[in-house]
Order: sequence, then structure tokens, then C-alpha cells
Amino acid sequence: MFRQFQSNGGAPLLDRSEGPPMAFHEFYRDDFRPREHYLPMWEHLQRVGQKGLANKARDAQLALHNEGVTFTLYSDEGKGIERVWPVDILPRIITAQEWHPIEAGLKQRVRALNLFLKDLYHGQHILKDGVVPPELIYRGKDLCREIMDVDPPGDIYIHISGADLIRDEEGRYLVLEDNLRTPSGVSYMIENRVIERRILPELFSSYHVRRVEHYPDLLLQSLRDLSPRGPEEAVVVVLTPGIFNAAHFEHSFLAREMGVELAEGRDLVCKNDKVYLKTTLGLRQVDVVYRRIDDEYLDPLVFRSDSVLGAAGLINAWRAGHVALVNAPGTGVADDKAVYAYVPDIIRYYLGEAPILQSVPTYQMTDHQDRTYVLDNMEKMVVKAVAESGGKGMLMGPNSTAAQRDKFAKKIVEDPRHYIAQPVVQLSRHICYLDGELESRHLDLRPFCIYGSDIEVVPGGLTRVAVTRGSLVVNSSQGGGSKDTWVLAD
Amino acid sequence: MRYHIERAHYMRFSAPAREHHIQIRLAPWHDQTQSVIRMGLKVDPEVHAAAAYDGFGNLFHHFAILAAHDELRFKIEAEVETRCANPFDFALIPSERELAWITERLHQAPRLWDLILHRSLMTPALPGEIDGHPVPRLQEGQQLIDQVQALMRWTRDLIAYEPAKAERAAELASALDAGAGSAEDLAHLLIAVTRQWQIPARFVSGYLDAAYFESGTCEDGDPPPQQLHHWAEVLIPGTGWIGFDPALGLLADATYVRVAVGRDAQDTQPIKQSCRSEGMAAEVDERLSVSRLGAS
Repeated sequence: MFRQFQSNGGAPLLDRSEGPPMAFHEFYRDDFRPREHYLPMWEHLQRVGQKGLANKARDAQLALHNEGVTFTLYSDEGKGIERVWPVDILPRIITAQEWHPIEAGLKQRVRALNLFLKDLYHGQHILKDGVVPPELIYRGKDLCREIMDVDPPGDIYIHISGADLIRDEEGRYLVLEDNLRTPSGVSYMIENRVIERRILPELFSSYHVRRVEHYPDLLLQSLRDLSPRGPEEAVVVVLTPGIFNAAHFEHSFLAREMGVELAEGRDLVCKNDKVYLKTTLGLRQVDVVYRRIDDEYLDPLVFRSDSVLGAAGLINAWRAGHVALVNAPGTGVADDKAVYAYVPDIIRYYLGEAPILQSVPTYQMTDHQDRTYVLDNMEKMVVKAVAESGGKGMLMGPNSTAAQRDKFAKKIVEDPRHYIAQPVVQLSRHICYLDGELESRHLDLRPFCIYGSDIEVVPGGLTRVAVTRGSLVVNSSQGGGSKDTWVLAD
Repeated sequence: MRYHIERAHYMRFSAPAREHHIQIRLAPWHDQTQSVIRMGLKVDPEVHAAAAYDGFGNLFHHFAILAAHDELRFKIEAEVETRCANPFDFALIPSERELAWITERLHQAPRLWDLILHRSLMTPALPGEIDGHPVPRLQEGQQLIDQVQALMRWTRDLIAYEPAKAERAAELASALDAGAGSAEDLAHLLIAVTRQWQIPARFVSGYLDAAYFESGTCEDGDPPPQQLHHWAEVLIPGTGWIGFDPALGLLADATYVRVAVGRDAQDTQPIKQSCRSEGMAAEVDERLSVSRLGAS
């Protein structure tokens, strides 16, 4: 499949990728003409030509390097390797008509999952009514017994979420994961936009692109609104595990953009069920902790006693209502890959509505019939460990060896609750400028939701790209790249 | 019965401790089977202590001493009235309806699933037999309460109770290998089997009437010091939670004071603490006194 551009000097621009023909292409129509909303971009590429594009790609790389936009990759030995954030300069463009159902669907999903969490940690009506099997919840690892019957401020658990969306072969958006714990990537969404505006100013101004740069303002306002002492008095901190964490760039970015303190656990101290920040002027009471550390490390008195990342007494302060934790502890149970299969039922149960966004069909390995089918068809399946993320603990059936499939089959039989399987969905593709060529690569989309006085979906998101030809793994931790995502105004 | 309970704890650090946070689960339960008439907690150095309930319904207290300190004392005192004179004092339901009764309870209270499904190193899934002893299976046509009593005897055959052994094994397997263990180990074994029967069972920490210690079960003949005891509670059809104490081979009655319940001993830890300094609890002294105040 060769696609040739008219180039403005230099070698022709070619899309030489040999991806699966059934994958939806974001840029091309079926007749290999660009889709209507990509025509201005197509014309711009023709004007710029290969040499111009090469210059822009180099400029983008240089700017990211100079501004220290990095992320950390972990090697097999567990060592962190800092890399410049990989951005493809060609943006992904989403029309207003496409965006509206995404926005409505994400709001619906987050609202329902928040009600689910409130119910699970209180009356458990959904379990009593048999909509979600209690065994599924209690066999999982994510139900947080320590917060049973605790009322978080405003009954909100999921303040920040970043669902992963993919497009199936027909171009329908599907939710792949809900990411309700501490989703990363929003800083890269903003940095991508800053770079694009600088590198492609003419193209950017030829579209009416909705803003994403105000995300830190939205976030800060919603964090302030949670303050038990009122928004005016609110002292907000971003709690980070420290500089060795893969997302430390993002933690410091958000603290800087919001103008709040970036704190490590040792900077906080709890007394009389209140949280304080140690400052050179003494202790300063903290009202809202935007924590970017996992539940199990939050408080050594309640969770892992060997944790030095959190602060002892944090959960008691939260329980007493003197501090807001964002996200609330215990959201992982609604983000469990086995619970994911029940999200459509959860939406119907709490909201009485049909799901706007569809989920990927999911086989439960605890179900005998499902398990037998999956074990017989491993080469067509994606098998995922429910407790893993970032592309770890996953078998991509079509690319796997017989030995890998056997290994996963054994694991499934030994511990069925901790695996699910999904049919392989050919993620949609988009043209990317890679090593001087235009090639198509698979991608997904992570839009970010903020649940404050209302649910706000930032128009855009982090588009993650599987850089390796033919690969469906887009995770940054597995070497994936990214694109700026332009959502167009009505 | 009415009891006066005094639990004192003393720590002396080898180096000053600071930012010292303590969370204790030592207060007796207040429910249908026992009433807390009064209770108080004193901490030295003097600090504000707060109380809350955890996810299993246990009352816990917590406090923090931020300044550097070498010593810490706290004492919890309570007066409790217990009412379970006879654990058999309930109407049995026919054995053929017992499992339906359990199913209905699980439907009404899904949280009970935790007490069937939880597995840990302390309450692991068990093989068909242990050291040549077949693990008992639930028998149709027999009352569950009778089967759990038989299970207590089986538990004691596998793990001999050692009253002086205050610490539990980190893994149930270690106690089974040793053939001896603490009250916690025996309770864990009973719970592990009961859960395999799909019957809810929970771990209990609590206080015992002093008479159990006065009988003198130590090797040197002296009465052993009173200490926190541990047993299991099983959901028995027709009534509710009944305490089974495999260590002493008894059903829990009014001489048992429940303090904390959970899936296993991890959930009922009496003291959890964290401090930022290098100082560790070099010296620890714990004293428990449970005295009967006379018939109620």
C-alpha cells in the first residue's frame, strides 16, 4: 500500500506501511483521499514538502529537549532512563460531531462509576441486586476495606480520570480502559499543544481548534472547591513519590502550572487529624492533596507499613473530613479489568440510560464457557492481567509464540480471576512523520475528565502512537510516541 | 458478667523518636453481646487522641507525638458487661436449611463474601489432607455447629496450643510444619477450613477472664501473664456469629470480650505505628489486667 504525496522539492513523501487493511484510517477515506477535515492539513503538507517537514520535526525535537520535556523508561534491570518526550508533528484532528458523543459518553461513564464506588463502599445495592457478582469484587485485589462507610467530600471519588479510547474497524470509539486511579499524560497533552502551535502556526490557525492549555486552571479550581475550609483559604499540594518516578515530569509540571507546592511524603506531617506542610515559616495546614502515588503507599498506618512515600495519618485526616484526597482512595476497584466488562450494566443500573460509548467485548476467565473459548483461540486474543497496567502482563495473541501462549494459558487456569481476554481490535491508524517518511501507525486517545461541581471533559487528550510498524502497543512505557489532538469547534 | 480491663503499654526508645504516629485496636466492641459501660485512654506525653471505626466495625484510637521523645506510655481502661451466658442458647434450624440460610445472609450482606473468599498466607487454600490428616469436608445432614466443634478438635490435633507462644507464625504452613503454635495459628487453621466449606468465618482478638490464666498452664507452674487472646467466629445458621476457640477447645461465652475482628490477624493488629526517626522501640512492656467485677 503506497500513498504518494506531491512534494515540494526533495523525495516524494510516501506512506509505505503495510498495516492490516481492516483497520480504520483516521486520515484517509476508503478511496485513499484524505477525509474532508484533513484537507487543509493535506494541502499544507504539500506546500511544506519533505524538506520543510524534516526541519519542523527537528525543531520540535530541539524545543522538547531544551525545555526538558521528558519521561522515564524503565529498563529490564529496573533502571530509569530519561528520554525526550516523543511527539509526531502531524496532529490528529477530531471534528465537533465526532467529539460530542465522546464527551457525553465519558461524562456518563464517570458519573456511573462514581456512583458505583459510593455504593460499593456503603450499601452495596448493586451486589445485592445481582447486577455485579459479589465474588468478582471480593476476589479482586482493589476493594479498599479501610475506607468502607467513609464519605469523601461531595461524594466524589473519581476527581480525575483519563479513559483510553480506541476506534474499531468501523471507526466507532470504544472505551478500552477507564484509568480511575492516577492517570498520567495530561502534561504531555499540553506540551504537545505548545509545540504544535509553535512548529505549525499556519496550519494551526487554519483550523478552529478548541483549547486544552487551560487544564491546570480547571484542575486548580476543582481542587480548591474541595477544600474543607472553602476555596479562598485552600492550600493545595501535589504529592509525588519523588524524582525517580516515571511521571515526575508531570507532577512538577502540574504543581508549577497551578502555582502550588510539589511535596513528597516527608514534607507533610499529620496532627490531630489535620495535614500540614512543613515550611520555613512553620507548619501550614493543607486542605487538598492531589496525590500522584498509589493507594498502597499513601499512609503506612493504614496500607503498606514500609511505605516512606506517603504520610502517616493521611487517611485518618481524610476520614475526619479535614483534607480532600484526589483521587479518593479505593477507586481501583472500579478500574479493575474484570469489572470493566460490567460497566455497561453499571451505567444502566445507576443512570437508567443506555451506554453512549461502547466497551470492547471482554471474556471473563472465571466463566467456564468464556475460558474454554479463549484457551482454544489464544492466537486471536489479547490476554491481560487485571492488576497490571502500562502494557505489562499482557499477551498479544497474533504476535505471540506458542510457548508464550502456553505460559499464559497455564496462568489463566491457575488464577482465572486475575486475567481477562478481549478479541484483538485493530486500532485505528493515522499518518505519522517518522524518519523522513510518512507512515501509518496505530493509535489511541486518552481524554481527561475533571469531576468537580460538574464533569468537564477537556476537548483533546493525549493521542498515543505505536511507533513500531504494525504494533498495537501504544504505551509510552513500551516505547510509544504521541500526537497533538485537535478537537474542532462547532 | 462485668469486667474491668486495663491495658498498659510502655515503649522506651534507643534514640529519640519524632513524628510518631500510633494507631491502636484495643477497645472492646459495643454490640448486642457486650456493652462498654465506660472507657478511657491516657497517653503520656499528653496528646489528643481521636477515635474512629475501621471497615470491619472495630473501634480504633490514634494519636501522634511530633516532638522528639524517648518514652511513650499509654493505657486504655474499660468497664464491659458481657451477656453471652450460653452460646448454645438459640433455636437450631434444620440442617437441610442451613446452607439456604447462609445464602440468604450473603445476599443481604455481600460484605460477608470477604470472610469466605479471603486467602492469605495465614488463611491459605488447603490441600485435601495435611500430614496424613484429611481436611474435614462439610457433611450434609449434620448441624454446622457440631461440625465446627469437631473441626476445633481436628485443629488441635494438627497444631498443639502453646500458651507461651505469643507471636503467630508468619505463615500457617510454618505452624503446621512445627505441629505447634499460638492461639492465632489455631484460629487461622479453623478459619481456612471453614472458608473452604463456603461458610463465613472471621478472626477475633479479645480479652479473656483472668481465670483462664490463673489455672497456670506455663511450664514453670507460675500463672502466665494475661495477654490478648485470639479465636474464630463462624456464622452459624439460626443465630449469627458464634465464637470458637480452638486453642482452649471452648465456645466463646461471657468470659470472652471481643476487641477486633477481621479476615485474619493482619486486620486486627492491636498496635500499628510509624515514626520518622532512627529510634526503634528498644524496650517494650505490655500489661493486661482483666478482673471480674462480680455477677451482673
